[in-house]
Amino acid sequence: MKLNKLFAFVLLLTAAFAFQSCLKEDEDLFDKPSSQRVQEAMQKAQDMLMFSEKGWILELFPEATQMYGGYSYTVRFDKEFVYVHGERAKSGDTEIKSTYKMTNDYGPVLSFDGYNELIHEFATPSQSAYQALKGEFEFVVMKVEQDLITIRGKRTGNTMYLRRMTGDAASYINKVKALDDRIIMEGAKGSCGSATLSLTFDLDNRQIEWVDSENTKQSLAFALTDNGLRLYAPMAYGGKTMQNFQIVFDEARDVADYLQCTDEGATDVKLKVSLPEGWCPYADFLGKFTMTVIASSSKLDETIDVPVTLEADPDGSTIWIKGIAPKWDLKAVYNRSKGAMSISGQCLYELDHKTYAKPAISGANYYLGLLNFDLEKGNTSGSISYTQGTIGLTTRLDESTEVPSYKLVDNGLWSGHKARCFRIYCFTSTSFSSTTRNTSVSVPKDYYFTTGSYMLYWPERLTKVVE
Amino acid sequence: MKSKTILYSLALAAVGVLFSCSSEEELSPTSVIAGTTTGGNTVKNDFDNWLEQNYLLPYNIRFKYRYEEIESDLDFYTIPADYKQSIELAHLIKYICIDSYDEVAGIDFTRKTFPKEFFCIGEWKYKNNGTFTLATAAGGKKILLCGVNHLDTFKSSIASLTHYYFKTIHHEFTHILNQTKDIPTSFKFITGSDYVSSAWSDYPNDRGYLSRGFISAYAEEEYTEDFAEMLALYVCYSPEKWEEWMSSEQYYGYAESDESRTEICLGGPEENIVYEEGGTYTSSWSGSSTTYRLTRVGHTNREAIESKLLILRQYMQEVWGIDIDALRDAIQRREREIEQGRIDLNDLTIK
Repeated sequence: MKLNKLFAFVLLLTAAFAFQSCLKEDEDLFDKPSSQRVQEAMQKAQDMLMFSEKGWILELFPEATQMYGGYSYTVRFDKEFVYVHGERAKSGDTEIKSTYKMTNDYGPVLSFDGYNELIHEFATPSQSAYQALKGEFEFVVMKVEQDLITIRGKRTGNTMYLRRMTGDAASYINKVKALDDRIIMEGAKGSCGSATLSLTFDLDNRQIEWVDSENTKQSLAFALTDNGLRLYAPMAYGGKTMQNFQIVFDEARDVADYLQCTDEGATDVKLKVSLPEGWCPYADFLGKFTMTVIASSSKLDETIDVPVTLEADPDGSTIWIKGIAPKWDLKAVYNRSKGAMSISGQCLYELDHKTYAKPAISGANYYLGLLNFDLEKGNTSGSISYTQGTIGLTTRLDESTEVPSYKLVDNGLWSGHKARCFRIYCFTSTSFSSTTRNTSVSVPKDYYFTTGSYMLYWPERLTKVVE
Repeated sequence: MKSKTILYSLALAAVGVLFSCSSEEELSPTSVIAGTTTGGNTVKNDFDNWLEQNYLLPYNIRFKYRYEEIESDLDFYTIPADYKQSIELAHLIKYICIDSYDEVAGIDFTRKTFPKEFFCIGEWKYKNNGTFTLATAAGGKKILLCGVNHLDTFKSSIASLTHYYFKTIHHEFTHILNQTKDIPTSFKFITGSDYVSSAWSDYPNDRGYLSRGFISAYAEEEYTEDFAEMLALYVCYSPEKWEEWMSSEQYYGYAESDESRTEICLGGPEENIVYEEGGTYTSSWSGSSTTYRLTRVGHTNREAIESKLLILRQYMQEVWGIDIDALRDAIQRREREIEQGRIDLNDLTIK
């Protein structure tokens, strides 16, 4: 009888198991199949992309650690094509068109599937860079909002954004380019919440660096906007969270003055910009100066202070040193990235700065050229160079003087020699060489320097005249 | 009692089984395949229509010019092909490769054997050793065409177009033929001991290959590449060019810096070597230069190459019914026509 009961139990158990399969119902988490949901996500993303008349601002950060910084593009989409402007083009006005598509390999993906010189720049490999700059052109669409689309790079995993544009694409990009040319910053410092924040910039790689509260070095990449910079991700410091900064300029000196945070809750953060050591703006080199030179090769201990006026040329980088000679002005060139001015071998012009100085000597006309002369003090001869425009003297800010003054030093480009003096010669052409130089005629005395010689001996210093 | 219990239990079990697993869901009526082409939602344009008329319908070949990660080679950094140059390339392949085979072997041959898919990418596939790949063939079905974005810079020179694109396609197509019907075994033994695998691009294998019985440096890699290079170079260049290679002088010498004075073959006249016994020749590469002392003059190992060519010729005729001389004539004629500008590479009208 026990056996009977056992059988009964077993059979009932079997029945119970049989019922179990009905009780467990598969419940769908979503109301639609996944392929349909992906299709809808793709369509939603594409609709939003097309639904921006002016397009979107896209800041691309190539490479998984954003080591190259971020670069700005504007993208506008229609059904078939994307129209791109980018700061890496020669001008913001350039628009390059290519195909794009929405695809669904990693979720809804925006793929720039036709070659576009701007968008694909960082992803294009070459023989010397077989991995390009580790850029990419396919992005998973993470989130679609009215004014902001969040995307993630398929290769790098970087989170980037498409921000709705309200203005004109070309002028936005041109402003970014102009800002890039204009900014010279070594660091920025100011109070930030409960502490003081001190940043340093690596402008070539678009990175900022600082030390956090635990004494660890931190860095973040940034991209430029039309009026400032935007960090790859928000940074936290002194209780404040910051990502967007406006760069405010000192217009008179044309240098960056301070960074103003524009994020909510951190608008009181103002960081004063510091310039690279010894860096001087163009404006600092204009006005009344005295140029100190050695009297002559026989009077090495005596100096002459030549009063000169440095005048800006309309081209914005040339500076004319007036007063160094009665019949012509000495041309100097300002270099913005070095923040210094240099004087090199050159063809002399009449005072109008346009016509070559070409005096008549012994019945013929000759061009006058100023050449670099490597003459050491105490020697009677040295080497000259026929090169115009590169080797020569450059200014170095003398921090020790109260009145702004600049030492004049060799710029290091004359291999094996140093630029020390200048000498005027007569030439048969504006192209200088041993064949075009004529040593049998003498430079007319009225074209001499105001010091009374055809030589400018060891120019030492330019000192600002403070009135 | 016993049997009744069992009966009731069985009945219970039966009922249970009948009711289980009756939850059936209806299949969704919505199709999961979206878009007009594979790889995303795209709008069909004039180029797509032209491709449909010239590749898809006659040959069932899909010519893909829009980037798809899954079709590219993930071992390399690749970028999309430029739209305009993709159109030009599609015209060139049709005219120089597909139509030539149609002419010589008949449209059915091309329909059956030509790879069913072409995929275009913009740049070459650069390796980390300075070399780069022009194209790859996979499994008899697909050819990955690289460097499409360079097409315009080469368009003015049929020699460059041939070197970078046409020869490559014929080379890859040969692989496909071989992947379907093997290369005759006898082929591998003619210069069997001289294959050097990946060292083909290294010194001294990169020069003087004709003297060793190889039509190109790449042919030294292994017998399959040798076969493909031979066919591609034979049909893509003129008979005069082939004869030039076969009867070319080859110069031998040793590097002056080499203490062991190992004699190697430096190449032929195309290397700009002016031969003088005991004279020197300096070759520069990548900023550095090497001077060689010349020792003797040799010749292309014509015998080896021609033996291999014979096997290749028989293979093509017997297995595929193709006369390689006729193929060469067709390709040469078509290349001349392209050179003379008689074909509009951007024309997308449906004829």
